[in-house]
Amino acid sequence: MVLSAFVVPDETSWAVWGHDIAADGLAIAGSPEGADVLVVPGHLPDGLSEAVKSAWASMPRRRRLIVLAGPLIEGADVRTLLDGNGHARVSQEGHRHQHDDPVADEHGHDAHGHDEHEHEQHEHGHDEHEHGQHAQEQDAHDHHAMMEVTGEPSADGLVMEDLEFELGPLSAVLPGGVMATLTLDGDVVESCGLRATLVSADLRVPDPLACAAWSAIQRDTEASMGRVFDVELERAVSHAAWLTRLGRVLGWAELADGARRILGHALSAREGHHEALRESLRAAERLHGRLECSRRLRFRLRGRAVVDRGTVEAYGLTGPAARAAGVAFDARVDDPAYGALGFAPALRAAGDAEARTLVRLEEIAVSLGLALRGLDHGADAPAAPAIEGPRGPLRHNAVSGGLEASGAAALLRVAGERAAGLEWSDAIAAITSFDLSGWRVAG
Amino acid sequence: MSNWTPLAVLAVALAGALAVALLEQLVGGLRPAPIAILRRAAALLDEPLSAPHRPDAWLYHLAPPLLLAAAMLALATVPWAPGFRGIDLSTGAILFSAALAYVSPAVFMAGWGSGAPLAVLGGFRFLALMLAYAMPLAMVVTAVAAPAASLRPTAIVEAQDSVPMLVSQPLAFVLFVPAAMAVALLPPFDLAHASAELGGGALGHYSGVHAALVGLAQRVLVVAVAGMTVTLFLAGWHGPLLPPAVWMVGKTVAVATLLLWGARRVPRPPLDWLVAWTWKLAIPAALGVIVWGGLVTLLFYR
Amino acid sequence: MNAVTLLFVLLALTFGLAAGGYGFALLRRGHRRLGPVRDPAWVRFHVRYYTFALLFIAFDMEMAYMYPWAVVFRSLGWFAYAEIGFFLTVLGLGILYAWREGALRWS
Repeated sequence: MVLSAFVVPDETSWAVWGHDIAADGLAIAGSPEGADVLVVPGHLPDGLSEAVKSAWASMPRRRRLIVLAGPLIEGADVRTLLDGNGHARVSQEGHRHQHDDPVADEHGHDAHGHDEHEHEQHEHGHDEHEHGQHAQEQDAHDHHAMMEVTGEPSADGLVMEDLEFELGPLSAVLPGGVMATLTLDGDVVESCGLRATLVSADLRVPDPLACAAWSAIQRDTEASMGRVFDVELERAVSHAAWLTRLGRVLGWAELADGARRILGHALSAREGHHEALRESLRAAERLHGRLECSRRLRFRLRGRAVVDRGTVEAYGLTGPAARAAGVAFDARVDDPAYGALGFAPALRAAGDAEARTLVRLEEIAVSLGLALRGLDHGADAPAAPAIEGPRGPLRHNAVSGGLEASGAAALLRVAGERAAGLEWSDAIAAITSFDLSGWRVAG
Repeated sequence: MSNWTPLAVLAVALAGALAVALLEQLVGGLRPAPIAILRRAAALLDEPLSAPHRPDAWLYHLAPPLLLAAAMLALATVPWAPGFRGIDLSTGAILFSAALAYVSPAVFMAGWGSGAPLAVLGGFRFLALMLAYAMPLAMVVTAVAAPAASLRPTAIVEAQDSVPMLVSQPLAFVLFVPAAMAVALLPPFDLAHASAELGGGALGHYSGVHAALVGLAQRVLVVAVAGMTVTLFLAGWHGPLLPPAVWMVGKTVAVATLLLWGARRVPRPPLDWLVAWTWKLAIPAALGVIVWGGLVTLLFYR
Repeated sequence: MNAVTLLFVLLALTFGLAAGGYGFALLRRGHRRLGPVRDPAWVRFHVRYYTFALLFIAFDMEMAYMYPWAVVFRSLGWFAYAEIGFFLTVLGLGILYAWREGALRWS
């Protein structure tokens, strides 16, 4: 991999939005300093503008901005945002350099058939004073801001200092939009508070899948088999994108590659190549078969961040996190359209990170199978009041006119609580295993 | 050894680093693009010199050259052919371990120097990792040196003209390879600088020249440990028909490919588990390897 | 050029290369401050692996005895082998003792 990209909000969201950044030949950078390219959507939600400005300012001089066509987010236009305050100037010289932009040379994005705008922006000249100015600007909205030192004796009686800092909303470690307030004692997480910071202005895009779910609810007069196909394919895409992230977080390229294979076929099925569904299903079943009895997965995730039945009920958890604990709650069970297709929810009993992974992996296969059958049958059925999203049910709220994603806030709370007391890499794996979303539903 | 040897080592380092970068692309399933790699390296050199705002500028600036120096010295101890032996000291194998000992201060300095929470954390994590890999790395070298009755790498190569050490001391090889991967900063031992887990960690706050030096050093480390694996276990330049240098380079490329391929196939182990089980299992096994190496020496190499 | 000279020439070359790179970047593009202004995270870090560090120092010292042994032992034969066997047994028992005392886990 030659060029590395710092991805806003994160590569998982982009996968769900139809771009597999890694398949485009870009490595995912861990920090803006080490990145060559900033990948952004055309419009940024409010919670991200400051972080994006600060990331852009930290990038090297020969940085490039790739604005990909994403969902319709209401917010600041990223080009005016970055142009407007001197962070990026599209200079005349910049255009002359256009031809040696390796991104354009090597990885023809256009081959994917997406409408996207790519432009390169070089910042020229010696710009120390300019950066000095940024420094003061960034002071106010620093993404690692607020670090302080407190002293208290630890278990072995030595007085140590806790490390307190905030991560997010843009960090390679957490899903985009998730903000973490962390206290570390050595490299053990002492406390971790997580919150989602992105709010969509019109409530329609709180979440990549919610977008599709929303349109499915809106379309309740149309054939519900079309709805099943859409929603199940979205779920498969969302879970496969999450699995890619898990592979990266565990430092397990093989897993990430396997997940990316499922994702690639599923994405091309979403673009209308329905024959890719079978390919995707085959890849999913193969990976499921391998991971089901994988010692490496078991070693890394078994017994980590256990959420038992009681916790699920007490916190009101939904989605795969609940099903991994053996709670068979799934909005699809009550949906006649799914009943006709012979649906049964995937369940595990252990409630740990491994169970959540396997539940999602099984759901990818189930969803792709349902999508295939949904394609074959074209029968009509009444629309359901709720749709099972990738993280739990999504309901149409008649009063506010928006979507309700029950369980999202509980998921953030449980993830933070389960990360506490774990060593850093276990904590990050635990947080990842909950498939958190940085978007929250307002109102 | 001529006056040109330092430049020759430098040339091996640069060519080797490019080869490793190409192998990374191949193993990762991408089309190798040498021109793009060189162009990116040139772009990195065309950046202003960067430094973090407050933290320790000295450590921040010193760490990348130190890492590169460690990698270069380790590489220089690898003998490539009878006519190109690098630093041919009678204590060359110790020099190899000694040079690699500078990797841990370099990584720690990088993390501490940048001062960001995850970078400092990464630095401390690398020190723990060093406690795990350093012992097996050094102990195995003794076991392999015993049959040759010398710590001179070329003597170890000569001792393998009939039987490679891999055959007589397989357990030593099994212990050496993961330790070598850890010291070469390869996954799954990227506990200090993983991008998805620590946002680049100790090495995550470098750009421009610094990033170029760190990237070069990482690849040179891979060449060095692959070359030393071949020297210690795979009979170095020995081989039928082809010239010695060709055998040495071919074997080194094969080992480097194996390391990069293996790096993708194992998830990152938790650090506490790794350090604890290295001491419970790998270090006692390394002691056993020395005993075995002694026995093999007395029975077959006298 | 003998081996030791080569070592130092190579070191000088590497640091010279790095210094040249820094100088080149500085002269050509100047310098810039990266990232946010913040207090560095230099806390009194809880090093949970310190018992391993203590063991490591002891073992690193023992390594110093094993290197010369490896070189001369082939000519000394079984006597030297018995000696190192005894030495390694003591080291192995040391690890077992440390394990029993609970030193081989993170505090």
